[in-house]
Amino acid sequence: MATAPKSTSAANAAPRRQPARDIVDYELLFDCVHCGLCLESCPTYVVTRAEMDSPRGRIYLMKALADGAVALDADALRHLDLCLECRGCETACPSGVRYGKLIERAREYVNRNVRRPPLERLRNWLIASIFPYPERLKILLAPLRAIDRLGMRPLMRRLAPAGMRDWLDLIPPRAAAQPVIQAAAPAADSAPAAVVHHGCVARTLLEAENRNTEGALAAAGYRVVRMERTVCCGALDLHHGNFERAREFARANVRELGRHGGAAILSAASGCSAVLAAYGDLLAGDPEFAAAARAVSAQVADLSTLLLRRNFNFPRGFPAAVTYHDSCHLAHGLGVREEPRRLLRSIPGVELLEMNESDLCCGSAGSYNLTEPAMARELVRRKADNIAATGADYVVLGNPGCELQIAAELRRRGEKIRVMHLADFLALALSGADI
Amino acid sequence: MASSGNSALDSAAVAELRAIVGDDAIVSRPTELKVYECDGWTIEKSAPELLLRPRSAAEISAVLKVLHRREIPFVPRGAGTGLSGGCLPVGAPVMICTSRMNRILAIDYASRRVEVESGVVNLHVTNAVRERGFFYAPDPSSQMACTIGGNIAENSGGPHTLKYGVTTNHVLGLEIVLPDGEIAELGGPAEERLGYDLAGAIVGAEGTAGIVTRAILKLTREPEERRTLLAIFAGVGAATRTVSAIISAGVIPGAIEMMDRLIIEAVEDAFHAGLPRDAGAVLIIELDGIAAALDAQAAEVAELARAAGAREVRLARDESERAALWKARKRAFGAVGRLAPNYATQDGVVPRTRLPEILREIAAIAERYSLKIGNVFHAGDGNIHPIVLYDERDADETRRAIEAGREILRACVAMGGSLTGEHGIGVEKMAEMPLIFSPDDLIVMSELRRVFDPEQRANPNKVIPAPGSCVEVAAPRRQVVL
Amino acid sequence: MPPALHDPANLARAFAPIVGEANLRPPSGAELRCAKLMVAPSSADEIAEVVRGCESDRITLAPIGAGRTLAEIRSAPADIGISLARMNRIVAYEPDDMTIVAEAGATLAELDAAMAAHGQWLPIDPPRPELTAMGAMVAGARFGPSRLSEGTARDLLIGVRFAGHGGRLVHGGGRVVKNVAGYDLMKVMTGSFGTLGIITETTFRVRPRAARRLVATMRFSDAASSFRAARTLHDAVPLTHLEVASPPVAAALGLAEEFTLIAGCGGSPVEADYLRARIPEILGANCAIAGGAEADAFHHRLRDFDFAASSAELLAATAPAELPALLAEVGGAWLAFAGSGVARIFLNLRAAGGLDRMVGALRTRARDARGHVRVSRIIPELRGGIEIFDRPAAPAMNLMRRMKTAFDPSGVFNPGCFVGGL
Repeated sequence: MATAPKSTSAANAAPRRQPARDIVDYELLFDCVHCGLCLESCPTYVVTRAEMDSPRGRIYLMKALADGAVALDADALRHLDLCLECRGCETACPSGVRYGKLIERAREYVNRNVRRPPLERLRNWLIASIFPYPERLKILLAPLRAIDRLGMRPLMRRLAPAGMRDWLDLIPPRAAAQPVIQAAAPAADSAPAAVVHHGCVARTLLEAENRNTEGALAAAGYRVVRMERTVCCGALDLHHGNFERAREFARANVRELGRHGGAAILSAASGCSAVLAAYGDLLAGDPEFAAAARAVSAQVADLSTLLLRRNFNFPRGFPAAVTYHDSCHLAHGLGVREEPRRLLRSIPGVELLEMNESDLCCGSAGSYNLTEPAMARELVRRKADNIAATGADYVVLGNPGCELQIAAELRRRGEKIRVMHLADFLALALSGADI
Repeated sequence: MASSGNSALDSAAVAELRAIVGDDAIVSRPTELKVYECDGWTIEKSAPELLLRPRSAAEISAVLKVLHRREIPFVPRGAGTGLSGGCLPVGAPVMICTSRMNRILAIDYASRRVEVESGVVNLHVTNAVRERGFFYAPDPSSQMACTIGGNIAENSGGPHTLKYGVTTNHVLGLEIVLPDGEIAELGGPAEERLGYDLAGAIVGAEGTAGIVTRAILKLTREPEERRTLLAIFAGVGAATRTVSAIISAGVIPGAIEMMDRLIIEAVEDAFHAGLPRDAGAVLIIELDGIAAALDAQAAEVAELARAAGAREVRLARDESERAALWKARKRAFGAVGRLAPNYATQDGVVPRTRLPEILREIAAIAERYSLKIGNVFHAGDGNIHPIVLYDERDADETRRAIEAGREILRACVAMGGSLTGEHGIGVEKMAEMPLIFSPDDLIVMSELRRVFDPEQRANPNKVIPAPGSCVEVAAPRRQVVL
Repeated sequence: MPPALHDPANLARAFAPIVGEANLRPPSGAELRCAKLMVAPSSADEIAEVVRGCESDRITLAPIGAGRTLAEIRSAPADIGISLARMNRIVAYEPDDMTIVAEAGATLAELDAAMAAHGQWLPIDPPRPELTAMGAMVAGARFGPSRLSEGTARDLLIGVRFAGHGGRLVHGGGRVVKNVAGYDLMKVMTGSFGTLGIITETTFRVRPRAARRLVATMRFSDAASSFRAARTLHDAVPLTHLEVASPPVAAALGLAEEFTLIAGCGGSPVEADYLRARIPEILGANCAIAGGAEADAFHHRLRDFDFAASSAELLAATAPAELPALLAEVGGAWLAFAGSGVARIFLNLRAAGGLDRMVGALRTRARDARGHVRVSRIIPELRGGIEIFDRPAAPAMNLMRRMKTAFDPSGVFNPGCFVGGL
């Protein structure tokens, strides 16, 4: 063994290896030291227990793809596709690996270089053409509403092809009227301002949570600013690697949100909030929008944090056993975990029961439950088991996607547990109405 | 040179194995196998030719019978968080991963026993019993991901082993599938052993005895309370003197962990745990036990630290402050990942009183090899973890990192210490085994290994260097990816 | 040397050149049941040479400390006994590292005396520390009440040297408290009863001695309530030892003749004061707590306890929760280490058949609870063909046979008295 110490420094060493494929930001790959601490934080690994379906494994695949050590074959594609992009691994990672950025870039590369089978292309086109546009979604759902009014949903479900049933289940039956928070008096002009970006899916299916988010903010003394021209936040495109359209959406939103100065920015959909918070990154290369985008991102907040800041009070008690589900992009993206719990605990009578794996993805993940129904179903089953084990009467969460996904599974099981957005639950607690 | 035995892994063998475990438990395509080419020890890489992901001991038994008949070596793998290349295939074409065998089978609080499958994650054991006031004591830094089976293979430790002992002190019984496919139950829920302590011999055998499929573990009662202190020093010397002073005073803390400046800066960048960036070293000292006595003990320890030169001693005021300190400590290795593209964590042991000396030596080695080396370790045990930073894309720096690591180990041995306190020999340190073991020692260890695995097909070419090999040529060489 | 020539005189001629005439002697007392001739080497090298001599001439040999363990388990004497009396040095004691290295013949009492000045001890407390040689303690897996909090030799032994097959001098472990280099030969040698080699040196990690010791005792009308109280107490406060004694054993310990819970604890003065106040809150006011010299004296009585009136002593081991049910089958005299799932059972059967039946019944019961029963002492008249050790299940037993063959291919190391006749 050579023991003669050398005084060479890293500077005069051999040239660094260069990537063969421009699949991801190559340097970011080297933040991962392959320790494996992320494994159990990854929903797909938890289900398949195969390392190709773990963050470490996917990063290793990306590295191997970048280095040209493996081909972008069906296997590589399969394991990259199966990622939920929940970013649970970012919370677990001690090395600060920016996994979300890695997988988004990898997906963009895949989009550019892989031609999908026709059915998949059709499906993806449908998703991309409908979901970011609430009007289109409303038109599409109109017949279903008619069917619901006739009480024909069960029959339709039976007749639908198996692959469509999970999709159908996601659409909630017409809900009974929900309590709505009414602010006592309009806030003074000097009050801090907040603007709520109305998410696309929430606007169509769960309108109450937008109104209640605004109502709760107003009740807490915020001056709620209406947003005029809201477009999709771009989450679906971003997660599918369609950066171009994501940037178009982002520019439109930045333009609109930028007009509200120092107002706190939030969405009732925490998935959208996380995207708004990422605009700074997304538009960093756009000379016209970079600064404004950064400013918008810096103003992104979440409902519970804003309410806690203003001493949100509950005049009446609301006795209820509640469990809280950590929506991925709220917990892992925005790092908000404690605040919603503190808010819930502050309601007299509310008993907060922690579920196991509260921050493990429910499988909704944007349109994941439409594109990867088997894994999504597996994850929501697991989530429902964990929820049921708490014995709670309510599941409170902060994202409409999770709400639809979890509610569908609980309905399938005949569970009476109610799934509610935090804002809706606050409205219920404030109204004091019992179910 | 040991044959890789690949010739025996023909399509007929694969078909036979497939029939046992099923399609979804067999991985044979190179893109997927690539992911399994290393564990936490990334300097050496070698993918298996076939990966099996069985669900039960019965499946493993059937698999090993086939491999035995066909004379095909295999390597077991848990979560792949090992740090010495213990599950790197070296002449073993088949890898068998236990990650799917992750059920907790039975919890007996009255006896303080838990029975688990070997793929259960370490932390999940504690999670399952915490509500009743118990925990599973060995707590390696990777406990959120590593498996009990892997802990058994490596005899893993962790910060709290100073007071509570390492894996072997908590394993009472094992079910193991021997390399010929026979399932043996060794030990059991009783503490007293009947006959030879075979389970004890298998803990720390690094997967060379067969595949452990089930374990009966001891549960430990949660202490009433804890006090966690952060002692801040200008340099590592005073910090290590404090460690000796505390132990000499007859206080056995739950843990005493040290971090030096490089590590402090890395964890501050990562977690903002509130560690002082200008400190030369900090100690995290955790006392546990009877609440009524802890304040007095904490005051005594703080006084000892100040007397040894601590410029400040802070007491974590609540659970969140305590959690922040431990998060910083437990994830320090990963945090270092932010400082360099790669790092190699060394794992040596010296008698506790030699800590100041070995730290001086490590600093000198870092200087000589022009490398950055940080130190974060279990000071109470004398178990050091120098973290050597390097960039795998720089061949010369990688070579220097390996050399520096070896030199640190030689220094440990020279001070009466050992090559590894908890990471295992794996492939990493086989070459150094002759530094602490004589040829006779190694012969007897080989004999012991052959008791379980006469043909040496379970994780071959590990732990014990091939007879006749010298320090330079450790074993059949793996491809070193540079 | 053909077996016919294995008489003491011939054996003496064979080994005198190695250890010197003066270091050969006929066995006495308990040794009579262990060996025909006592050989007392002064070093590991001499032992190695003796081993080589034994292997070439098929002479059986048994390592002997005080001769207590082997006297109980051997049915006939081995050819020679290796007395470790001359190898009784404390090789190294590092108070600041809290480790001690001692030759196999050094006694526990000698070690503890050496460490007393530093407030440390080797926290293994088998009966009669002055007779307990390190090698015998390890090979015989001897333990005492403190196993509850401190573990046994298997937990504290960090390094071992032994003379094995071919006279190889082998070592495992080292002198550091945490070490996973190489196979764990310490575990292999612990509880091997001299069947794999002769331990020549042991290294232990040691512990600080508690400043104060307390012993709490409490009487119960039945065994079940004593075990229930034991568990409650164990879950509530840290204990150093925890026993339940049946009425005859309690009486022999100088307590009232009732089922008695015995719990030891201790620590700093602050801890002791707290425990003294806390334990009655848990157990009830009618528990008695002793401290100071009284507690030390009681701990020694408990440690050295021997129920002389019995004809045989058994050692039963199960999961702790299973122990009360097993002891319910016994009745009579027993001392249960309640937190460890281990019990010393004292039988006073005088007929060999009755003893066989009792041991057999207990073994069946223990096996159902995944435990086992060992005969740890028996009067010579009853020794007969009784199996000292329970028999492990087939796969484990096969491995043990392979282990024996691997370490002792000539079959000279204390053969014929371990599990399955090894």
